[in-house]
Amino acid sequence: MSTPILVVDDSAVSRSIVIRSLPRGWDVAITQASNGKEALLALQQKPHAVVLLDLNMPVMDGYEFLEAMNGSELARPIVIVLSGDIQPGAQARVKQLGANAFIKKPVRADTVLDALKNAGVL
Amino acid sequence: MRIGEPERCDALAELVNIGMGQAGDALARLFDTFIHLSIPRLELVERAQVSAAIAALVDTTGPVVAVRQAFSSRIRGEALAIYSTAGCDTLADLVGYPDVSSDELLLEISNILVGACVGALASQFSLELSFSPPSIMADTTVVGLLDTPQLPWDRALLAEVNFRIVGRAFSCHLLTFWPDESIGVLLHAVDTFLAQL
Repeated sequence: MSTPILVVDDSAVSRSIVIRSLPRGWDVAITQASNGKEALLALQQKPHAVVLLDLNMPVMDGYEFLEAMNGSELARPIVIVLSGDIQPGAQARVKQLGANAFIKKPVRADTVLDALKNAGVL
Repeated sequence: MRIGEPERCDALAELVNIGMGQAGDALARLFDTFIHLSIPRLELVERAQVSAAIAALVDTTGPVVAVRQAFSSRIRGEALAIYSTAGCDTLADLVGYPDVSSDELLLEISNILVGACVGALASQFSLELSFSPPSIMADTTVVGLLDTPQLPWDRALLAEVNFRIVGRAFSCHLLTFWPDESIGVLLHAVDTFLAQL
């Protein structure tokens, strides 16, 4: 069965880069969302194994998304943050909010692979 | 913004975003605090509208201090870092160097921000940039910042990001101007970047 993955980023180009950085040959079913609010709706529609999450987004940012998800009854996915905001405080904050990994943009396929392996997805 | 397909603007905004992230990281380490980063804004401005565009982006009528710095290589442009005067007064305290003048600190901070932000963009495009010495303009207003008739371009791409510290008066708007003839080089680099995807 395909692994359901949710890619959340306000930039379509960035979502495309993230999707292309996923391991080749991995059977995935990808859903895209352009902010945290859309991502919550996607999770309500069906559970996802992995959320690949940007932080700096309009409407609802990555931190607010994590807070909302933590306070909900939603099934808990593995969350890998992919962020241009790389300051130590951003990394600490998302870890505190339960994110499994933090990847600095620009995204590279090998760091995504490592994060997926470390989180036990692969 | 009419510089081509939406995908190119989106890619350029993403590259600006990565540059801003590196600038924010440098600032966070200097201040040892969390810096709130904005979502980058890009627009094409004509010379006659530039003051109005800056005023709309910076959105303050109060006094500001600005640091201006030009950069060049195959592309040229300039950066303008704008700080509220009130925020600057608390700067030495923030950094923990009470003896350093706020002008010195501002030049240093601007240097870090411009170097990280513009430098990250340039490195994505494999461009070696050289920077002019920065100049500082104190106690002015946003509208008075640029001597519009003296600008060396008719039209430029304006990219704006801003940095804030929650609970503090400090804030910085970092504006970069990429004149018309540099936009072509930037977009060519964006196309190369997109083609690699």
